[in-house]
Amino acid sequence: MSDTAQPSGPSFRIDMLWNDSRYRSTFIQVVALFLVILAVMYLFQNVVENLAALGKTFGFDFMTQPAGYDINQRLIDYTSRSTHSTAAVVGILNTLMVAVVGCVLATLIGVTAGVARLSKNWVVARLMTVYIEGVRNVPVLIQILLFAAIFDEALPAPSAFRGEDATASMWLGEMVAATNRGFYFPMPVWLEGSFWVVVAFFASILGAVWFGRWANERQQDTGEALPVLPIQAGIVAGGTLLVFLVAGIPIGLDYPALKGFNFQGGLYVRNSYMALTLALALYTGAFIAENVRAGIQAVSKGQTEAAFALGLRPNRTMNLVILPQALRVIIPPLISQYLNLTKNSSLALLVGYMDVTGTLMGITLNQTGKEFETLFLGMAFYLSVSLSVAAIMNLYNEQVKLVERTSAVGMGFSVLDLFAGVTGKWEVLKKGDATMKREYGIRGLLNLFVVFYAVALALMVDYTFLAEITATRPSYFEWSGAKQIATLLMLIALFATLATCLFKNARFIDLAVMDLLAFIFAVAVGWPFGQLVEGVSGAAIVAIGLGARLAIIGYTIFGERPNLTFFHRVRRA
Amino acid sequence: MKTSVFLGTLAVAGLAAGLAGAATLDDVKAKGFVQCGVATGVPGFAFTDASGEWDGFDVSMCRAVAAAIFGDPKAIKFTPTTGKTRFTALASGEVDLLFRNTTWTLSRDTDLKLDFVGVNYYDGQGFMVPKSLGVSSAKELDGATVCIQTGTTTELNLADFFRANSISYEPVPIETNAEATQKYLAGACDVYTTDASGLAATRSTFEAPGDHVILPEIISKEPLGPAVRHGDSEWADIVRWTLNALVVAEEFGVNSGNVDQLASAPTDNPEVNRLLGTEGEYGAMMGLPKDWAVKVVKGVGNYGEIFDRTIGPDTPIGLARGLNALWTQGGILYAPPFR
Repeated sequence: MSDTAQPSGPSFRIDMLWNDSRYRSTFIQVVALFLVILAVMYLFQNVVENLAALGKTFGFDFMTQPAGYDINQRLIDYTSRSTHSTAAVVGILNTLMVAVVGCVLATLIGVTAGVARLSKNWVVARLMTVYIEGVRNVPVLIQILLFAAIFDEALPAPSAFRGEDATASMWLGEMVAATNRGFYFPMPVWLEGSFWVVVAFFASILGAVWFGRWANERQQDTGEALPVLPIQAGIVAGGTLLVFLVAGIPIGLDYPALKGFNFQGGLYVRNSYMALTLALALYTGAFIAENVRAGIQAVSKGQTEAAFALGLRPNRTMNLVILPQALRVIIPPLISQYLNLTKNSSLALLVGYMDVTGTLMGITLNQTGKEFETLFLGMAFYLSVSLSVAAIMNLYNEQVKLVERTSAVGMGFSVLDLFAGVTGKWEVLKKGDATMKREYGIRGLLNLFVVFYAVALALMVDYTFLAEITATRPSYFEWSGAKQIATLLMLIALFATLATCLFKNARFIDLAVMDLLAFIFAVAVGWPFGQLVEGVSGAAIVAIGLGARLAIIGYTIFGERPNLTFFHRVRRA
Repeated sequence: MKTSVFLGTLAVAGLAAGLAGAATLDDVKAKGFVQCGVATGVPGFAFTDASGEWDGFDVSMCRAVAAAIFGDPKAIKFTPTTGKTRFTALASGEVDLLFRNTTWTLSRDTDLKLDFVGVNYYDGQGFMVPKSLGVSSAKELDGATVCIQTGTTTELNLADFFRANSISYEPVPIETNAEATQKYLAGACDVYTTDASGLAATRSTFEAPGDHVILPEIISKEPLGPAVRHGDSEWADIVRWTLNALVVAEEFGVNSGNVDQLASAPTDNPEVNRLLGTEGEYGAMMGLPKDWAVKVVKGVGNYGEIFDRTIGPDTPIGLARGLNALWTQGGILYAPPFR
């Protein structure tokens, strides 16, 4: 029983909704929500009515019709007879190619410029200031057009390379041709036996990673540091080269040569792609440089002085003391820079680069007149890419951010709690806890888990978006609704599970269970698993998929020490 | 109570929004001018002259519609549209009609919910190459880099032509004619393809037009004509018969010089009388003044006059009448009778 008596006022009256402060704010919020819903309904109603007035219907049937147009840069098989959905996928891949390469380039440029701007060398620091302030204050559109114009006007046409009195010549000993259509590089040709070279390359990378872990562990135990990086480089280069020579030099180079109107052979990188990617990378790189500078300057000077006092050399101070702390400041704004670059890539059409804005939301829209549908699909694509990039970067940020000893780890309900009675309570260790110990080896990184989810995701993506449509399966838009939903659910669940697994997030177990449920749902609605891998029956894939998922979840819950979270959940003794 | 009134208002507003835009003629008369969608700039067809006034073959035809309605070819505003934006501009009501070298195709007429009301220029897709390439036929273009305006039928014809002849090419999609010209002249593409009339018009602006040849292959039928929104037949009738009036006027020798005199009193030719409103009530049938065709011919001239003034043999464009001659003179230009 409470001591304080309830105020014995009159019972509820209607005017108390706006006069009584106890109800007022709730009342206002309800009214506001109601108005927003009404407004959205009105807008939607308006669209439907106006579309009907124009005699237009809403539907995605057109996506299965032949596109009829050609696309110059295509990473998958595509002809003018392919469907609009294939054309959209070609555009999506082109967008992703700009986004991924652009983000990597922008990061390299940005980190270099950001660090160099803090250099004690006056010339270097001022040069970087000029680059950063110049580039980031000019609209990116103008920069893209500038690059395109320079490539168009300043580089020679292919015909200039022809004949006795050629006015242009190839670079690097007849290996690289720079023309006003694009750059031609030598391309590796895979001869017989090259498979083993590739295998050796990846095997030696694994070896190098293993060596790095071993060296790290050894240093933890004995305090002796080895020159890790040179040895790792030696392992990769030496291992690959050895097999390359033993197998009889099975990889040749295909050089570009002038045939007909253009160079043929080799690797052709179009000027539109070059201009777009370079301009976006330079522009975004300037912003990243400022983020990097801010991050470094946010680390107090005392840290540097302390490191020097311990006898660390300047570059070790930078790598071991400053940058790890600076990353915590750098990463959150870096996420939005990556998103910016991805979204800015939609300026591609200006230089004639066929990204998803050019194919799906450009020519397809124009030829079919389906504005709403194509723009809706395009927006869904950009939204999912942006959210995926943000999700991955947020998980990474979770890893590097400062975790204070006393801070509580806010975890809501987790599947693990269901099994608390069997396995005992779980405790979350924090970075500073004495009992926290890094796990090395396969268990530490959950390599097998990552491999399983990565392979499953790759198969799904390949089947849903890239497989030859008419030959093996009907287009996505012709599937039944349940199968479409199952596909989307599986894609989302697999992606989220893979990401949390890769970054050892505490939520991994919950997403693994979600992925299992999505998989079961897909099996229930008869998803065609039999077509996923050629030569493997559907029953086998279902059995493997189900078995592996159950094993992963079981190991995570009941395993000896499933060291899968960054926060190191351990069983409470 | 209040909510239901609010909902009712919303419903009425929604209904009104749905019905608005049905009667284009009333809208046009209310605002006092015609909003016409034209190309962003094709010499001879749609361009702005030194004083900033729009002129050209398509522009003059569009002015004819304004003259028919308001008696004044200047009661008009122009919206430059690209190949990509034109249909959306028309469908959304941003422009009242499209007079922009647009090819009449089945899917555009039906699926895109446009109505093509006639053909003002019979064209076909051609290829232009620099003479120095030494190419004499489009079939020799294997491996060539081709500049195309994106969002056009040329894009589809090109794909079909190269596919049918089993030769490869590298398409470079461009948004406007000006950008395409710049790329072509810089040598970033070997070939520029669009409607043959557009090629001739573009070539006329080059410093040395003689250095470029238009290949003999015409790979498609491109009937270019004005388009209006589907479902407004009254408005479509006005545009259709304005175009027909221009052709009929040429057929019967009515031109901007003699139209006043011919319209002052009924002539011996009943068809001319019906055209010029000295006989019958043909204007009223379309909601137009009696003398609408007089104003049209007086304002912009007949079809032949417009052709000769903007793109004919005596202009820098130098296009021959060819298919676009009257049916009586070996062409296929043919207008239904005024009766």
